Amino acid sequence: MGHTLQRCAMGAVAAALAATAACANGPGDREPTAVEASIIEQMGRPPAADPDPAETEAARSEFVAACMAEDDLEYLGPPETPSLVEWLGLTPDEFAAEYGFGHSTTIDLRPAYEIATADAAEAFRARMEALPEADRDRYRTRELACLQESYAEFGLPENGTVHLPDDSPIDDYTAQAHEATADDPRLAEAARAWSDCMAGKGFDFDGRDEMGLPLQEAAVPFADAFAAQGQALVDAGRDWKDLRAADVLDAEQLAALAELQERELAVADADRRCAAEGHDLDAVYVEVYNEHLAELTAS
Amino acid sequence: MRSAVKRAATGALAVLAGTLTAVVVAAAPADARCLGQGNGNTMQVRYNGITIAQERQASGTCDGDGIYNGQVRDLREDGYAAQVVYVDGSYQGLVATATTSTWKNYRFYDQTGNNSAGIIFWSRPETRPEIPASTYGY
Repeated sequence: MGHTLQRCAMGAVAAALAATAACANGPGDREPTAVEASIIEQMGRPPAADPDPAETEAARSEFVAACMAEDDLEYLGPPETPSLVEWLGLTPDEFAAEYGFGHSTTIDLRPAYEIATADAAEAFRARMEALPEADRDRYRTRELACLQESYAEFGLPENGTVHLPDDSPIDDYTAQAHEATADDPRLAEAARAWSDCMAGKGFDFDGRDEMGLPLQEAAVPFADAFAAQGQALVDAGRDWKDLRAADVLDAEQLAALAELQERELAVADADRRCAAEGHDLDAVYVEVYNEHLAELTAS
Repeated sequence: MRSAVKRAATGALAVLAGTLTAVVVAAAPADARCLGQGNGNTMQVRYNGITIAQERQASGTCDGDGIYNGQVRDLREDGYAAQVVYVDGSYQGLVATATTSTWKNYRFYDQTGNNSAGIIFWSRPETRPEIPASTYGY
């Protein structure tokens, strides 16, 4: 999104004030509602000191439930589905130490995890389908409105998913903040320093995607082979939860997979060591992004 | 156990291997996910306070024809792709993978004749897969 639209959107927020003619609404650039204006205001604030995300999300669920009850609707709640890291009972740091990025190292864990996730998705969908059609439409519309009110009340979730209506100005703000961050020389400088650090440890990458995505793609054939060959064992009575690569893949596949996993773990270890040495690209990104977001929302 | 194998490929960028139903379609402007015909919303996946991926509906797809045209993009250069998985009856599969901030189009064909399916949207092993109940009316 270009600078002009960015300025128009900002003018629209500041705006309990009237928008100027130059900032007349264009596609994706409508006036924020009062709730959206509150959300935008929240977005520019620094996060509360040491917020407990679990408590915040529990409070959000209660808030949404109460909001929906005003319309005689029972909130079905957010689906309770853990992340892969949570499903394994690990902290992110523990996961990184054991599985690296989790690309090639989790191929034998994912079928059971993904089946559990899909079952949760199907169960949740079935609960929604069980509502009378009129209530189902009403439910989703009301839920969306209540979620937006919760964003105004509690801010956007630190980790999780945000649901917004079509052409929400919130999307413009996040997109603009990302664009400004990507163009910020501080990020480029941090990336160069990180790249130099990684080179010093034997790995030549310009950025994190160049580091991670090839590993993710290289894991595809192994995951496919594990799924295809494992199915025969599952059909014979084994459980995906108990199957590991060594039970399923042949010697040649296992040797190639071990080589890929060794590389992934080595790259991930170098990345972690660079972060520990002060080259944490994620941390720089978050800092610069929040600064741009605050500027955008304050204007 | 259900179509476990179709599924097992999801975390593995199966769309790149061309093994699933995903069809990349021509670019189109977009709005959001269907909440009934003519109605939609967008999803943003957030991690550490930052929006890292988005999914939305391509314009006009909430029309009841059983074909969902969506778009997905990955906003962070973090070494992970954003992925959209559909669950529909016995079908479970990865239908879209995005690795850049450019919107990527995808198409999902209803598998059960009810114009309703579950979506799982995820990006990193630390993020909970988002299951927004369903998309329906597409």
